[in-house]
Amino acid sequence: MNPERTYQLGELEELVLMVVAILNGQAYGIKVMDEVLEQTGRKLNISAVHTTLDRLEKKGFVASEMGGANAERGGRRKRLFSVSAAGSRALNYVHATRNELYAQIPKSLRSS
Amino acid sequence: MIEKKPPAWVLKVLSSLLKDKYCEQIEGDLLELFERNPSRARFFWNAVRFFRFRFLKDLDEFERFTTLAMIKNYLKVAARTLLRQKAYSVINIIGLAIGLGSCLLIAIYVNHERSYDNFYKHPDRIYRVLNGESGGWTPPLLASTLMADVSEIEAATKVNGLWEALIEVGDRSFMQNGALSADGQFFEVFDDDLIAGDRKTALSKANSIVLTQSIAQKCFPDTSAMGQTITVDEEAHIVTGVIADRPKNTHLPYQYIISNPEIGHTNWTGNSVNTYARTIKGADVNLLKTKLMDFYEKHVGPEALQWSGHDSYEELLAQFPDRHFGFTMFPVQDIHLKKSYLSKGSGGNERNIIIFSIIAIFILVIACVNYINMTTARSAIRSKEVGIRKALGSQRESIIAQFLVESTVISLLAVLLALILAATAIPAFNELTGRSFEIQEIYTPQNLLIVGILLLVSGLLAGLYPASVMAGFSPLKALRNQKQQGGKAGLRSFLVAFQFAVSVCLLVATIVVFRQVKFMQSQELGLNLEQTLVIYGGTVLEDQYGVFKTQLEQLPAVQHVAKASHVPFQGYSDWGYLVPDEDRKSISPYNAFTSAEVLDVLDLQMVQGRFFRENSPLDTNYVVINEAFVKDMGWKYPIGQKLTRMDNLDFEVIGVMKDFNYTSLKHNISPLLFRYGGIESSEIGLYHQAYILVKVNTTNILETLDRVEEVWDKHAGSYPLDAVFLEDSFQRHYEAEQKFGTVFTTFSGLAIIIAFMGLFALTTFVLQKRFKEIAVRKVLGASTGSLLGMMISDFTKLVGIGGVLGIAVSFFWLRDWLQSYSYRIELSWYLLAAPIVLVLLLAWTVVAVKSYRAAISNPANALKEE
Repeated sequence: MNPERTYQLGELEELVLMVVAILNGQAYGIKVMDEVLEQTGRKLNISAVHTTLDRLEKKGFVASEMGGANAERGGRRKRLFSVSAAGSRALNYVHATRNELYAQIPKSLRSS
Repeated sequence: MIEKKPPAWVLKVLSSLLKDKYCEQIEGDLLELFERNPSRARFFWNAVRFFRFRFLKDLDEFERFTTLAMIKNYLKVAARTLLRQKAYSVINIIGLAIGLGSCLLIAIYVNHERSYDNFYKHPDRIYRVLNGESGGWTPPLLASTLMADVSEIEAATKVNGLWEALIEVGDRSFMQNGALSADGQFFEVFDDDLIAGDRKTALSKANSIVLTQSIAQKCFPDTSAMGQTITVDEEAHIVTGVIADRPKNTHLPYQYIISNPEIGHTNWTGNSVNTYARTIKGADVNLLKTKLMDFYEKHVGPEALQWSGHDSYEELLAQFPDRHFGFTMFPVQDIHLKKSYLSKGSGGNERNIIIFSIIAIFILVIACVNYINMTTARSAIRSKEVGIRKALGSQRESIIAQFLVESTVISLLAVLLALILAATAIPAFNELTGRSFEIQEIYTPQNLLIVGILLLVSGLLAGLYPASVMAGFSPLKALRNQKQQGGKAGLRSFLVAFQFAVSVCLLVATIVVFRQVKFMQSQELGLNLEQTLVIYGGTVLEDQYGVFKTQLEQLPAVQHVAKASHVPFQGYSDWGYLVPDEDRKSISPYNAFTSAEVLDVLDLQMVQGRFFRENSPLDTNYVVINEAFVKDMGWKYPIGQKLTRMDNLDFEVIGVMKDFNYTSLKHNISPLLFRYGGIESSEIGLYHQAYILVKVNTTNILETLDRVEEVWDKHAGSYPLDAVFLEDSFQRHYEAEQKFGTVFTTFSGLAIIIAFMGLFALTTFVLQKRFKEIAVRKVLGASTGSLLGMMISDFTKLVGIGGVLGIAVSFFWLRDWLQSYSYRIELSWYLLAAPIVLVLLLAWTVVAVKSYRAAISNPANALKEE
């Protein structure tokens, strides 16, 4: 099994997956969008967030369930996302490879 | 602050288009964003950006579109069926594609041929004026007199051409074809617009010239052509107009027009120009016809009487009841197809158009018949599927719809393939038809419409019958595993017989056409064409001819040099003569002026008397005629007979030549008369034109041509040498037949291939159905041979019946076709029988090869599964 294949993530997918992990079960469309803006300064369109979440779910890295309804949002329920087992393996794999690569960069090029 | 509400219709649209799974969360997020920033525009744009395929409903999720969902299912089933039986699908699609492709090409061709000269503003008002009912050459006086005398005629113009002329611009010179001469009325008759210049005056002055755009470009690449000077055949002309390049579909493909203003013509009997006329709007054609009869009597009548010797015009009419004394208006749009000999481009042939259209329809029908046969024959295999569909509630209509969708899918694939095939076949097709179509021409809206219609027709035609057969299956029987008869075997047999009738018919026709062409080419002509070089435009030599001849004769490879006003297979013109006695019997033989050496060059045989002598001024009073002339006049002793032209000069017959063919074997040999034109000291000009005939005796043709050219260049000024071998121009007469033959062979070959593909597929399915029967027969003792015989005899009946029908049809049709040739082959029995035998042999091979496997297989395999 080729881990690079199994855990293949786009750059945006990787970002969103991490944010979903940070939000720990409370992630839904707007929340993810806000969090990305807050943490990285990157402005995403809401439809892009939904698309990425859907893609991650199809790949099996996140799972989702419908949350409870309240008066906000015109009475519409939220779909809450959480990282699946495969998702957390993917995160670890990505983190490990990035670290490994980073460690090989000559010291002079790393910021202190 | 007033609380804003998001636009409700956006939410409505979203909920009807988005998948249920995504709809709620997306709406929720959009609303939450709206609460944060209550801008309706923002809300709308955010909503629009959710229109992505992953969020949208699939077609079959829309409740209202169950039909669409069903069609989707049909398409899926169609794709699976096609993939499951690849051989069948390939045969079917290729067969149909070949059929459609041929149809398409032929449609393009037929459309092109029918579109000739339709691009003028009022093409229906433009006519060619014919002398009598068919003569293309008319008196020069005709055009101006018509305009003055006949109120229905708005404009008339006299033209001459096309020829190839020497053009000199600045220090460049080249030969350019497509020269036309016309008078100032030309653009009043042919009403297309000039790009530059005034249509009314462009050709009204002498020495004016109008160029087409490409010639203008060629002569003056850097500047405007208007007002520039061009030298044509050593005469200076001023460019007074530029016209767009002529479309391909014209019978008058001129490249430039030289003005030829009215000069004082006085007589009506010298036919030296072509006349075109334009009628007024809504002219009464019948009235015009009678007016032209009166017109003829008034103007041509007196001169006709003068030379015929009759006392009154009525008497003249009475003596020639079959002759049309009058001028005829012939629609310019019909020239290309109906009177192609009048065309100045490459003529068409109405009969060929009809034949090709019929072949196109035949090919398409054969391909459709294949589809019908294979689908119905095969339907037994799919009876279970139909049974289940019916059991699950499919109506008859929806089963029919399913199979129609399937046949349309096949036609669609076939159409795509056909478009590719047609595009790749364009160069070869151009070669075949002698036209220059381009690939883009396949994709014109009109042709795509034809393709669309063909698609629908073939899809429906081929699909409807099998569909309705299958829709009639009983679900009960289908599910009880009783194989059902796929349609009536009778109809299928009829269709196969029909296919073979068409194939045999086409095959017979192909063989006959080819034999006829071969026959004509191999006929004894009565003269020797070999190694005879014809040099065009001998008139430019003027008085240098004598020197030119002597120098040529000094070349070792040159045997004889002669000159003539006309040469065989290049067209002669007829002149009227009469016998100067009381009867004043008249005859219009083909007429030519020749020098004495023509006898040796062409190897003509004398039957009586002698030919002309070299350099003998006395011989101008003598004529030499052919046997057909003698026969026509009924002379017992032709030598010494007198003939006269209306100018009262008498000519004495001094010799009779053996008949030789000088036009084409399509026609009989008609009377021919040679007059003497061989005085070397005189100018070469023999009635406006001169050919120089050179008999060479060498194997080194190129070397000899170079030598001849050297001598030519010394005497002909700047004119390049233009020469062909007589044999080539003889062969060119059969080009039309040969092309027709090749086109015919190609398309009938295709038709036959499709028919055999059908037979192959049909045999396969019949064998599948009779699988068990064959096994049982084998168990009961039938030999491999007798089984093959059984299979073959079934098909033989069909092929035989079809063949006989095909032969009967082709016999009548070809007999008719051959009637148009004076020299023709006989339709012998073996010509007719050979195709049947050929088709039978091929059919047997196909059937036997397919059946052999079934006949030798172990019957246990077939019988064990019950």
